[in-house]
Amino acid sequence: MKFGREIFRLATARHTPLLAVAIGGAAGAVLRHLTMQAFESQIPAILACNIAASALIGFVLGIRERVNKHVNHMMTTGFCGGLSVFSGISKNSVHALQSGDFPLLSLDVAGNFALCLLAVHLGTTLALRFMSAHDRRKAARQ
Amino acid sequence: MNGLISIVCVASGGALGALARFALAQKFDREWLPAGTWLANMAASFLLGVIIVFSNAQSIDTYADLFAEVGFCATLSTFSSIAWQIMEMLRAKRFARALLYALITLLCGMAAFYAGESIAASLR
Repeated sequence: MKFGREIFRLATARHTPLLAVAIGGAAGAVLRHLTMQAFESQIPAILACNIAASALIGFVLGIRERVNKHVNHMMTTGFCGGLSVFSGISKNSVHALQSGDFPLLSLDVAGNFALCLLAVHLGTTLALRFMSAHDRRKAARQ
Repeated sequence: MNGLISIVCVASGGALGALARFALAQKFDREWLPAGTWLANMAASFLLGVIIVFSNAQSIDTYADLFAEVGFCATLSTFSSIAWQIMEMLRAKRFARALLYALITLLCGMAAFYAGESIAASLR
């Protein structure tokens, strides 16, 4: 029994990061798929997913010192990576370029980069505020 | 039931895509250049180009398309990591590096998608 438990502990310790990434990736991909179905057009759906994933990655990496590393892997590499998408931007950009729709191309690319950078910044700022508020509460309790 | 099968296809493709990107990032990402993430995005764009051709020609099953396109390819690629990496470069005042990384990712991604689409179209 003890030996079995030890084997289980070793096996899960070694594979926990992989399991965390796989679960997060699956959940992110499903949420993106459902979001895509809710939108009529692909471009705003991708933009919405990318902004949400960027804000979340900013927040989670902002508090990464306080978060379990497996949870960190699951949320950042797994969930945020699965929710956000780059290949769709490549596809839409090439198709916009082929049809000569330069305003759409520039709006799509600039929108994704500018809004996602802003979202990361907001996520990190929120994380820092959250941590200092948490520390203040902790100090007040002591 | 069909909706549930679709979700399972997307989730399993997503899990594999995330694992592939994680492996590439662990092996090739460096502080000065996130080459693993870049490689994952390029591979995803190329694969998407290939799959789109077969999907448009309706020569692959809907569920296989969901697994490969919506699940695997889209999850292999990421935008949130790119945004975080560029933000880190900007915070470290590495403006030229941030601009170069964004440009290389975008232009090579477009080229990879176009290459995948052209090669698949010529093979079909």
